[in-house]
Amino acid sequence: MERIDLVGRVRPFLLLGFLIILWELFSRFVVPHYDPSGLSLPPPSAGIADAINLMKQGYLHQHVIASARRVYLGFALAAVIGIPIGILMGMFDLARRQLNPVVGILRPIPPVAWIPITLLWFGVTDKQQYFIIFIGTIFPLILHAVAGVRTVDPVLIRAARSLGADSGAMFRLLLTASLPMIFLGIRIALGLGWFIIVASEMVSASTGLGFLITEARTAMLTERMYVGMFAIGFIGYAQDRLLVWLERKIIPWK
Amino acid sequence: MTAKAALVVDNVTKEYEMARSGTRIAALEGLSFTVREGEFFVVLGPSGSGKTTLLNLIAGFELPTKGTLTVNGAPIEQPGWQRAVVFQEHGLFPWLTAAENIEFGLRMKKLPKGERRDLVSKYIEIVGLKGSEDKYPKELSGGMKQRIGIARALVVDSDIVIMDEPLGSLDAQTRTEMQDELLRILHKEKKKTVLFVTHSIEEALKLADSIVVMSERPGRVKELFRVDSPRPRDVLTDPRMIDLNVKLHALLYRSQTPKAS
Amino acid sequence: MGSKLLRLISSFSLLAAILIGWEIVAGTIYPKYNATSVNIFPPPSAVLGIFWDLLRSGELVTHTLASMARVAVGFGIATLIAVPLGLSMGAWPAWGEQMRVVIEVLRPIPPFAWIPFGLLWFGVGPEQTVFVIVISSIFPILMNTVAGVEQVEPVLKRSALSLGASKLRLFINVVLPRALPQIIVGLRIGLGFAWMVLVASELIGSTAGLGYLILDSRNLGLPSLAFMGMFVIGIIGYLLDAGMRWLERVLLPWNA
Repeated sequence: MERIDLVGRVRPFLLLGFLIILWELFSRFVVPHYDPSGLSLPPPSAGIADAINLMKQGYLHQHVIASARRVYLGFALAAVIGIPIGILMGMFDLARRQLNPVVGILRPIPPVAWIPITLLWFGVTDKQQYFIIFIGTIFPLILHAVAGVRTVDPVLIRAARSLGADSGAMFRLLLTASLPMIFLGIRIALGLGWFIIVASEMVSASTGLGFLITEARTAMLTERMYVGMFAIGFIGYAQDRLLVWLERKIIPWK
Repeated sequence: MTAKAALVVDNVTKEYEMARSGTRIAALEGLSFTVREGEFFVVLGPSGSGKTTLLNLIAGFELPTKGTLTVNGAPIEQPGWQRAVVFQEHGLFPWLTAAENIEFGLRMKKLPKGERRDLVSKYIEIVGLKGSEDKYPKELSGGMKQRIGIARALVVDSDIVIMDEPLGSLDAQTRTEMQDELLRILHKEKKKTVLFVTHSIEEALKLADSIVVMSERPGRVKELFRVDSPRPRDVLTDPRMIDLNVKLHALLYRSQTPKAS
Repeated sequence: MGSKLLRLISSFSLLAAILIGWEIVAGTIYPKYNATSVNIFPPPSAVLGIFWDLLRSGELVTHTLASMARVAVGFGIATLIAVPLGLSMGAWPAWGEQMRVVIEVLRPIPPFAWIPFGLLWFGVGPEQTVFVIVISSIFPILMNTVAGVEQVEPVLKRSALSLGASKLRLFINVVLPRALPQIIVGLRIGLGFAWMVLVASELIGSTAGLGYLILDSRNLGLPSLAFMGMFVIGIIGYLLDAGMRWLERVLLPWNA
């Protein structure tokens, strides 16, 4: 019994394991024939060794903290401004009609395209990074809040009114009913935040995981590039799992 | 037969303007009837007979183009708990538990907490949902959801309860069970005035004190029946019921003159 | 009709107010107090001016075409890899299960994180950009293709089989059309990713393209160029997305 269970557990990872081993062997035995330094594709074991090394020195978490501070501060600013704007747009025709064209013009601009102008505005500072995260995360927050309010089941509104809800109660009702969509917006925005911070830190920063990767490239430490890359991937993944868990806690009725 | 009038619909016309052409079409035209206090009043009509419009007017979601609607003498001007609605789609608030859903209207009435709690547990008991009061709607079956919908409308002690095809989205067996349940629940609620909209003749026969049959657009009163037989009624074998069944069928279906073949 | 038009125009009043206010503040008031320094917040008129200049010189067209070509090649390669791969994962569940784990490991990696690898392996130039575009647009296309195949209702398959469809016909006439809407959603998201990554990749390692153009504004000390490039990038991105939506309607009239 126990043996079968073990096989079932290991089975999904066969291909992944095979590919990792293949990469290891390829880097050790094939790459050196073409690139004696081995810099173009070090084996995964070198990446793991470097990751352990960096963690021991405390170097990795110092960059993680720098990136996280930028992502979460920029996001917090976007949430404080974006979610109320979205709710306003969802509830009031006038706000929606007037703000739609403004959002429509700014939204298609990729967040990274703001980097050059913001460098002129703020220079190479954390402010510039906050701005990029802010501009990159505010639109999903706005749009999901709008959609959340606009897609409240009309029968709920009728039910509340027929039970005597006043405008304060209706406001709370719309807010509660749009919570799942607002939360989805938060999840998407935070995911996007970790994507964008990499690009932003690659162009202009002297700390953070994006910087760690660029620095590793200039220092010819390819295995460190792996570390930076998977560290961000892991953080993004862990954050998303955490948000899914949080959603079940906050919105148990969904 | 001299019971007080609870709801008076007097010569009500409701017209809508078509968005595109600007022409006006009448959903209801010169509609009049009276619902007596404490009776179970069924509005029976084919789709397109303006049942939904009528409901919206009585609930106060919309105002009539012409005519008046009054409840206990007061004109209907806006929605409120005095005319609580049970919806076909149940309309339970998904973020509130069963008990909290029932409590909603009481909170809107600003009743003190203790009183609310007593009323809620009383109605949980009445609709037979003891043990499920802390569940969210998503965890309940269709029949249970509708029990809460009914309890939520009854608990506010409104002048009239409006039921918009409340059993319409249930499966056949649950629907039959719920018809009996509804009678049982209303029996405990002495003298509750109910306006019940349906397109099921069987449901009307089983439940109604009065049945008004509506015509197709524009909706008018085609005929009004008083049903005096005691409940529970045997719709299949009671001769009076069979007789009424035939009449209702004729009114509802034969009038839609099928094309001669 | 008249009132509708009026309503439409009036809904742009906030936007117009912002633009006019921006023009007055940045074009008239700001220079009065900072006569000597470079105007880092150029007015809309200056942005339009530089747009017109670069359009006439042909420079804007050159950079736009360079960027478009990279996206076309990268997105094309990604589609050619991701769609067949996704279909195969849907068709053979055992293979799909294996691949899924590999994808789940790679997917959370931000597309931008591949840029340094592009630079390492291909150097500065269009190959690097194409590589990064391929890598980053592959995942949305792949995931949506798999989801599309998985959402084919068993009853559709059973009814096709009972009507005498062979395995191949089942795939071509039932699975593929049913999965197509989801595949197109994936293509749309993938194209959006491609465009976003293109800009970053050209910012970091390129000597042509719109991303390079806006970065160059910094060296040239021309903020109006940066603004102009941003809006051109935004507009093209918007048009690409609108094009995909249009394609969706044309290809899938039954899915409306």
